[in-house]
Amino acid sequence: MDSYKIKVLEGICLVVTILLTHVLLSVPSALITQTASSTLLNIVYVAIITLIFFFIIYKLFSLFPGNNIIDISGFLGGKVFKFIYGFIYIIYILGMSAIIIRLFSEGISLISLSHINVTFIILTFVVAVGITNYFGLKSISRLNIFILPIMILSIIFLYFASTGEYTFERIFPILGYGAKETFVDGISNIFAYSGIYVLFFLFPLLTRVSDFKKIGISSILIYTVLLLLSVSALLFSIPQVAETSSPLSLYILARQINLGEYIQNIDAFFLLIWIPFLFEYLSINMHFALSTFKQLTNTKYSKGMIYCFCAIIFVLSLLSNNMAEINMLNNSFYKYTSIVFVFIIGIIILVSASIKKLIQNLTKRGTQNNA
Amino acid sequence: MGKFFNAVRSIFEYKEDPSYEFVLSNANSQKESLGTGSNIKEKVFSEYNKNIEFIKDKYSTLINSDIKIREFYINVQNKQYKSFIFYIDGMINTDSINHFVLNPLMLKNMTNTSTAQEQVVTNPDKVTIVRPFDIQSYIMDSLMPQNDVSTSEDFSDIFSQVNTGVCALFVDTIPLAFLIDAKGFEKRSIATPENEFIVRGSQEAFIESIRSNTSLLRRYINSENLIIENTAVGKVNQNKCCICYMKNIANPELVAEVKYRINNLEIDSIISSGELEQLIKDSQFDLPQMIATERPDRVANYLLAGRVAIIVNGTPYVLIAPAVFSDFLTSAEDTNIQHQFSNLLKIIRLLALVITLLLPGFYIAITIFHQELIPTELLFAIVSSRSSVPFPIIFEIIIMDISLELIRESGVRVPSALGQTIGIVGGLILGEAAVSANIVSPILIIVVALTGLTAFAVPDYLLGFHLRIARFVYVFAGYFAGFFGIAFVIFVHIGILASIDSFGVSYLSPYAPFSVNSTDGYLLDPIWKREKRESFLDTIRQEREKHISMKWKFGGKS
Repeated sequence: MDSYKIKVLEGICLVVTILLTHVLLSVPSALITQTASSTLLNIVYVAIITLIFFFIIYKLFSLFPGNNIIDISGFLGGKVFKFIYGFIYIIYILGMSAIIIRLFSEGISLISLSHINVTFIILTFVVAVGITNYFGLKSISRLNIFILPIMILSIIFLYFASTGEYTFERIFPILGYGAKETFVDGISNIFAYSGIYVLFFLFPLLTRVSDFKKIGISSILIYTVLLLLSVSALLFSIPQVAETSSPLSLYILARQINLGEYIQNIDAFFLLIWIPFLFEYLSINMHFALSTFKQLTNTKYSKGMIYCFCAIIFVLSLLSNNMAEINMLNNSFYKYTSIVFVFIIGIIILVSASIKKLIQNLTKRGTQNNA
Repeated sequence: MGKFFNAVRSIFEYKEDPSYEFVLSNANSQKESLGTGSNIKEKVFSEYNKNIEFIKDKYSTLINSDIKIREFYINVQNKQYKSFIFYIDGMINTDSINHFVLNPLMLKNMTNTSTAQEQVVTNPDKVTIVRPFDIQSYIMDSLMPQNDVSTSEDFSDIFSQVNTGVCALFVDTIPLAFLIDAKGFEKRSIATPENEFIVRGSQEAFIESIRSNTSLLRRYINSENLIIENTAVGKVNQNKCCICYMKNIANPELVAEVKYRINNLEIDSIISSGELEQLIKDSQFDLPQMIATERPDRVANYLLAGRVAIIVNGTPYVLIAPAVFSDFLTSAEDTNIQHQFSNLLKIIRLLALVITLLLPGFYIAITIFHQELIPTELLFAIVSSRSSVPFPIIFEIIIMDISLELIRESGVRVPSALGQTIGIVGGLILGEAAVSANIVSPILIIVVALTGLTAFAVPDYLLGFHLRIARFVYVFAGYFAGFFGIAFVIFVHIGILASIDSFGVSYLSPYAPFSVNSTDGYLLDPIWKREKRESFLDTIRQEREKHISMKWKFGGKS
């Protein structure tokens, strides 16, 4: 979209925002459903695996300095493969954004805007995303520096404000349903980290290539801490969170905070923080979808595509008829697609491309030696 | 149908991205200066009649009453040269012209009967240099007892100078004009600042005269590195501007960019710095993107910090570039008092900004959508106070906000003594009467009054305007969608702020992009800890003071 380059802090904020948004929605309850009392242990385990995964992709990416995953796919399979892979990525990003917009809009409609048709709420989301994307990555990443810290503070505040409701014994049995469920089956909880797909696109956007490692490690660690705080707050106070109908896990937590007689219910303030955060998340997603499109089609002026992509997200988010459908889509599309797409296909492409590059290098060296 | 297709085409058709991106890079990485546009210049004729006719024609002397042309003869070498001086009445000092221009030219040289060669005694004991007579240098060196005389061959330059109070002398056979500085126009004397009053600090303010303003700056900055470059803006009215910066501090790229923008304006005229600001600012959003100040001490502070000042002739407000958002919540007094006091004031101003922007929107959102936030007793009080008001809450707020704006505007337009009365009458009596008449609720009066009051705590006039407009947007957002609407507007609002750059510097610097330099921030460190200049300016000289600045106290230990 533009030539704007991001620095370390902006990069960390970008990655953490993408990772953290799902914590607002159904990720904590999905994790607790999967691993029960061993969720905290499972998160630490999954975080370590994610860090290892990051180190692998870091090493592989360093073979292709300044390239993103789309460039690398082009190197691996030529233009056709690049085109197919890129378009699948765009569909993945737009589909995920649509699901999240719909989920959150339904949640807000349920909480405080019951008299407004959910279509208008979705439209507001789409307009906000369109506006920030019109201003470009510069605006998105600078905006994020203000929004993310407030979001992080809100999670920390939620954690400490809910301590009165905690029953720490709920951490037992420490292995939950069992060791196999925690460490073998529980590996599927890595979907909570699928937001690191942003790292695949980050390389060309960085001011310094060496910042990639800092950004990756810091954002995974920060997110892990925040995920632990959110999940533990839910686990200790509302272990039956998975059974609640609310699409917003943390909102359930916010509702039970009581700050005395001066502020009766503080949950509305959390909405004020979370809504811009969600706008930001969607803006980042949209940016990457647009930049991928631009990269695939060599479009010089891609701002016009903002309207098209906004319209696509809007239509996609209205496809589901009800909450049950959208919840089902979220659980299946987000969870399993993310695992396959980010962690499996991503690494396969990187490894294959690296092997191809090594072979090319060896062949070149052989030819030079012969010459 | 055609209009529809045009509209669709305008949305989707390929357009060249018109955005102009200037990024301030490292000060030491380049020193290249940018070229400036030049005008086609008419040269001075060597024939007397041609010159005088040309001037008479250009200045329409038949109808222009203040253009004066005085013709006379200069006697040199027993020859008479037809000459004339040309000036604008009222712009020059008449005594100066009479005594130090006409007198030497007309009287003193009557005795001049020197021969073909001029003898210059350089050493009375030995050498006498004899050189050919040159009338131009003779007039310049011997007949003009003036400290500031220059020559020019271009009419555009001569006219530009004469328009500012210079007297031009034309002599027959000489294809140039002598420009004699004899300015003497009436001007306002330097007075106290009217809109940026402070308790602790200088009590001088800029005036309309550009030279008085530059001299004020020179008095504050005692350094040969202070550069004051002249330029002119406008094709019809070439108004003088000065670009001021510290040669050894300011980023040369920033200086070049300021010059580039000022010298590339295709406009007939500008009269004030406000007009110039609108023409050279980066983004066309209604936010102020350059600081406008009437205080020379503030300008001096900014120049020493590495920024660039632009003085426009005829305006007592000097522009400072670049500017970041936090500059508009800063007062000239902040650096003059202890950092604890200034930080307290800065926090209060920030609070005032939040209140004036969001309070009416929040009030409306809470009372309509989020009643659970407020204590039940307060909710009852609000409900009971509104029970007798027949209008919806949005109507109440809009009525009161518009009334507040009307009172403020009326207060500005009338003489100051009457303005106070209008404020009291409008604020107290009208508000009280509106409550008694059940048009608005008493709590709303408190909300609107607090909003109005806090608006005055925002130091910048233009930012105040922006907040006044934005407040209405927040009110409508709060009314239609509660916190969701307000969150949407906050997001877009900050998004707009984040998209703005001021002369290559992010408007939200030093927070976005984040800078680790502690002296960059909105809150001030103690003066002895402000070691570095603001990092986002990328100045040549980064260090402002030594690590141990109070050497008298800690010098021995360091």
